[in-house]
Amino acid sequence: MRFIFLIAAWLISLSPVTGKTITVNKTGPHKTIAKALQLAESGDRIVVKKGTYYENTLMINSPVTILTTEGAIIDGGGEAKDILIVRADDVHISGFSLINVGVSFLEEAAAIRLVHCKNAVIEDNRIDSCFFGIYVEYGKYAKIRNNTIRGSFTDEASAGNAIHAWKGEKLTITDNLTTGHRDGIYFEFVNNSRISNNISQFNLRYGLHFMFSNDDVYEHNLFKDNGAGVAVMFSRNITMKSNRFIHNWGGAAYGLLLKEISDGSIEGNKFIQNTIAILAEGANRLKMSENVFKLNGTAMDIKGNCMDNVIKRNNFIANTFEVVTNTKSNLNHYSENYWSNYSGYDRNRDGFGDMPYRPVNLFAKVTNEVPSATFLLHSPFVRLMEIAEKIFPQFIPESLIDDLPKMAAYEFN
Amino acid sequence: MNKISFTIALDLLKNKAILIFGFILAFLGWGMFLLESQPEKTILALLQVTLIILPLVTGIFATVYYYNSREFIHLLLIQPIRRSSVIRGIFIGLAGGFVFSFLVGIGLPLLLFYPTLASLYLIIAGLLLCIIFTGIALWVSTHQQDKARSMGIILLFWVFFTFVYEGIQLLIMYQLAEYPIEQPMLWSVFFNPVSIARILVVMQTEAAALLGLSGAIFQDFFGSLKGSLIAIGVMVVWAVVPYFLSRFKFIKRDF
Repeated sequence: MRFIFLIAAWLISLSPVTGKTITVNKTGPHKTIAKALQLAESGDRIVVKKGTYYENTLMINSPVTILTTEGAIIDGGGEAKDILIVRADDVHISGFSLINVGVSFLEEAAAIRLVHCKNAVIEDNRIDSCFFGIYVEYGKYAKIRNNTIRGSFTDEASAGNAIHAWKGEKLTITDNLTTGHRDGIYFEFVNNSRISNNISQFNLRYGLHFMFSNDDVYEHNLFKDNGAGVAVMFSRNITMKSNRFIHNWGGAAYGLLLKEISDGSIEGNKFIQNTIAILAEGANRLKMSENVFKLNGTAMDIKGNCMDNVIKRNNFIANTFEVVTNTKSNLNHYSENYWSNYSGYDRNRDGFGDMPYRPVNLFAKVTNEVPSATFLLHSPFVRLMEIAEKIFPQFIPESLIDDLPKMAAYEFN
Repeated sequence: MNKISFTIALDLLKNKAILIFGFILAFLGWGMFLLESQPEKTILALLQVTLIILPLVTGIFATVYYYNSREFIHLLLIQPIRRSSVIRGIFIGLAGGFVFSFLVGIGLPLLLFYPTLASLYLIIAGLLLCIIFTGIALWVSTHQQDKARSMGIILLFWVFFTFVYEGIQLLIMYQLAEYPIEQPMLWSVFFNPVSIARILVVMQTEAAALLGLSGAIFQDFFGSLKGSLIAIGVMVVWAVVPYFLSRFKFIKRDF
């Protein structure tokens, strides 16, 4: 009996709270969203009809659903003020076009700002020409899905981020498109969150940027043509899986920048045509496996302060430089990788070369010491030097070797 | 004059060695494009061919040809022809023959399979290298009586320009790494036609971004149209000066 009662109670708690629906329409009775928000109580739905609403600083103080199915536009009027400010839990915003939030160096104004709230759902919105797109401040369990955030900034110093999270827990950011901002997605002090299936391209600085954020996962994202693909800094336990880093190309561009991070994993990613695919400084205990490095300028630049990283079962195909480092010692483990520049043989037919492979190229080392020597790239003299070094290794780190180089490339999907 | 160069060019094209050379170039040029799926890599391989093999073969072969046709030259000199027309004929004939085999062997596949600015620069650079090394070979040959010595000298020129010069540059850069040496290094490139050719082409490929901050000075110069025109101009000077030196000697020389 008691059991049935419990189940009944549970079922009741599941049934949706039925609030009233307030319709905002240009022709009345409620002509502005601000008015509707004043009337709204907990659990209400605000449906916004077609039209352009010139409003900003819209405070959402109770758990409501605010949506449009007709593509209503909210124009912030170019002022440096937030358009929507969420201060209540369980708020759901969907379907809007939010445009024109002005740039200010004092206020970080955003199209949608979440402040101290839980369970917000932000989905299917289009955000154009806004200083910041979606700004999360002390947010928990927020879901940011399927939004398109476009900026048209040209100067990094006066640009905002598309999705900016400052202090957060368990955020879910999926299927968004971010472009033309400073950072596509920015995380600072955000833990246990998941970023997946997003596209981040043509952003001025980073496609995705982690600072002081731990235990996060990002997977199946595409980072293309950003100033640098992803920067992970001062963070622990980040899982980076099945992302694509494509054509982050330029004088100071990287696919993935690792700085002071530890205990993460980098698996199944594709790095194609980046100036430097991975730049690691102070990266420790990372597991890198099943990644593909193809046609990059430098596949991996691992500085001497990186320790105990395991680089295993990756494909290195047609990169100008495979591994670059600034030290003679080696504290990382390379094994079972496929290197397209390897020219050894495999007598016992176990699929691995009999001779160990040294992925550090002499010229890469030279340019590391004398950067201006880069203009000798592809010169016959350098070619000669490399051949000599391959036969009689003298300068390149002796312990930086892959002792089981794979003979043929792995077939990763 | 035109008749002389035409005769020499035709004679060269009938020559077995030059045929084989042209065939090897064509084999490399066409073969690499047909085998390799990435044209960006192919153009770098063809760049190596152009920088290493082309000057060597051109220099050596022009020297050999000059000495082997000495009797023909003497015969020409007996005729009432100006000496300057004879030497000009020889220069244009030799250079024309090499340029032709380069254009067919490497230029044509480049234009067909990878019609980009980088290819265009590679063709221009290769063409000029042919002319430059023909000029140097003539300059050496007109100054030397002995064929073997001329061959030695032209080989030295080749080794110096393709390998030694850049080695010295690297050495200097190592020694003076603390100083702002990019600008002097940029100027020093102009004293080596092979370096100019290489940088011209590399700057047009995506590898240019690899040069980074320290390569910015090179990128600013060679990456701009004005800079590349100046570089091509310097190569033209390199092509013309040895020829005029040899012409000067040829006119004055007692045969």
